[in-house]
Amino acid sequence: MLNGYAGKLLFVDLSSGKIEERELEKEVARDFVGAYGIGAKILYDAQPAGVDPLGPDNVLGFTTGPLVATGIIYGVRYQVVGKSPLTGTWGDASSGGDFARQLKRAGYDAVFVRGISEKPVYLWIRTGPDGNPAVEIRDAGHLWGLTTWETEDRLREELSEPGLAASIIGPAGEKLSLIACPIVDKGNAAGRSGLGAVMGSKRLKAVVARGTGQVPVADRERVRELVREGNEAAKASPWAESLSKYGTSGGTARSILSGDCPVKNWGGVGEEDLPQAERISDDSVIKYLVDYVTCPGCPAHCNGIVKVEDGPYAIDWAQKPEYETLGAFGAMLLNDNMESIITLNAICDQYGMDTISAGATIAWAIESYENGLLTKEDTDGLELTWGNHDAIVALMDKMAKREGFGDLLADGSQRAAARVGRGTEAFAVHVHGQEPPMHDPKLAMVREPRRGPRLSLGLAYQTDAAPARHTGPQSTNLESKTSSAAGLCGMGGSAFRGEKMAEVLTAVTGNTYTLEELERVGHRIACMRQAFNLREGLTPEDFRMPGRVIGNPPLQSGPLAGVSLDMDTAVIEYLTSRRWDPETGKPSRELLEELGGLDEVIADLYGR
Amino acid sequence: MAIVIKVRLNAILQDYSCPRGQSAFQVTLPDNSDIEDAIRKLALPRDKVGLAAVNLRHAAFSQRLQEGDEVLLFPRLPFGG
Repeated sequence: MLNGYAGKLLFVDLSSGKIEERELEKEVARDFVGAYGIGAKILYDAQPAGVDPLGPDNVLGFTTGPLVATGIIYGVRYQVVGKSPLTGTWGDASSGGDFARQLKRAGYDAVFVRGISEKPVYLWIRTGPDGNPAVEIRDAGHLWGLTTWETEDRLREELSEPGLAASIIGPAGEKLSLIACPIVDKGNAAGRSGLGAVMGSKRLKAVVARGTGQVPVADRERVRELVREGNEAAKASPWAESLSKYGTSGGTARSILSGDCPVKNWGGVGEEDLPQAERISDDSVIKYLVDYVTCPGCPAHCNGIVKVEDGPYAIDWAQKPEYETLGAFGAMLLNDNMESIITLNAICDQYGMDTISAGATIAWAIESYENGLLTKEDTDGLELTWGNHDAIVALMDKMAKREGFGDLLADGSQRAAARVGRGTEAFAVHVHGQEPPMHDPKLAMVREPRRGPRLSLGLAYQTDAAPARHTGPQSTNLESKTSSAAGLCGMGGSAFRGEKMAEVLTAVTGNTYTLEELERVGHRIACMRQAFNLREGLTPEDFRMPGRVIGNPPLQSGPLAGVSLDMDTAVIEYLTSRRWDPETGKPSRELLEELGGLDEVIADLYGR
Repeated sequence: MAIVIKVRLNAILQDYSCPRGQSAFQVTLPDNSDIEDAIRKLALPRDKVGLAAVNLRHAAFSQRLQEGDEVLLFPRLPFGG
């Protein structure tokens, strides 16, 4: 028995139909903790370099962490891992919802899927009548073509399990859109890295789980105490208050006016181009709220259900748009029509698409159109001007269905620009194919200049193994990598941070974790993901950030006027601090030996 | 001499105003007052205020206010400047 874990990993080969269960080794659990940590370890061992991300050899993992289903508040996340078809690098994405808990209680810490099914299927994983996990590969022919919402309703009905949770792709993933993603509970998107297309390539419509088992913990009484303390800490935090009332939408106007949120495809200035930012923020969002939604056991209930009563964007039920979505479909497009953003978000949730990449790709199209590089002949007659929400919604609908001009945009801005040419490449803001999230790294230079370029670089997500994956300082913070691997929601930082997080992991697993050990685990995970990319032939040069994001040329006005990041210095400083070679990105042998648990990486990089 | 300005509270800051929930205020301040003075006048908990704008332009808290200015105050959050 492994405290904090179900103790088993599931391996499914969709080509052969073989289902295999393996014990989770206690050393792997201790060294890599969970989620993308264990995912990186398994994928590094399970697949060679150079596999086609949409081919049978790409292993796709659905992973949980040790805090999930143990009663620890905010311990709700699952992570999808695999080689990204969008970037060709390590890929991961995570979301909340009930899927992680159901999967783990059904008996598995993670599920890894390889191969390609001949026909559409879904995986049905549950606690069987004998109390052991039961796994079936089931036909999904009748679900293929349905939206994620329709699919979830059908699954609940046909499996007679109202309590199930499922990670589902919509038509976008089926049609291999490279910005497709799986959706849980009709609105929690594991948005980044295009891993919905990997599901589509495997003809895997969904992974469905329902579990009733219990996850053992090492010190139940201490867990209870820590939950009490975490709740108190969260209550005292203004962030938690804001989260409970607004979700992340509560910071949108603030971010647009401060320069944090990119505006007008990273070329604008919030206070000049979108001074009416409050129309797509906080109270303007929750005025449509009809109900709050919470992940299991989370005190924050940051999600919500919204309704638009009438008008062109009337909709009875949709998930509340959050900060990144408001940035991508609002600020990036100069769109202040809140009801259109609710519709855009609902399209992405139903068809299974990443709102960040979708919004940023539409921003590329608008800027290309405004500059005369695209015309109505290209756009199926759409008047793609800044803020034209009718045209934006029509285009999003085409992208989701891969129809007409929308088909061109369904693989993100880099591919779209490469297909169109004509100089539109200048307006595709991406890192190795993926569009950056909605936080401007230049702001850190203004706010904390003494911490220098390293902080900005961390915020600039250049150093993460999944390009343009992260929006916050977690990309430089090794300890928080361990929290993510444990299944802790990023919004739970107000409850458990640093030493407190180490205490939580110790109480749950029975292994002794200190803050230093959390950093070591985070460093180990970072090295494993970095090794995955090195094996793919990638170097730090491949992760170079677009000029607009780093202020080259700098903005002429607003809070970030004149700010440029010296990325060459920043990259060298950052990689050196990680003890990775500044030119190749290769972790030093001494580091790998000190961290331990990385023998195969040492063998690949340095020989035995 | 005194100036009259408007102050609006964004998002969760409204929950700290008096009366609670009120989002817009007309405030009379002495000449040469800055944004910090406006925050004090409204008795807002200073540690809850993270960012300010004057007439929808991002502003330092030390910015001097003019007659008729509209000050927009934002809550302190872990992101967003």
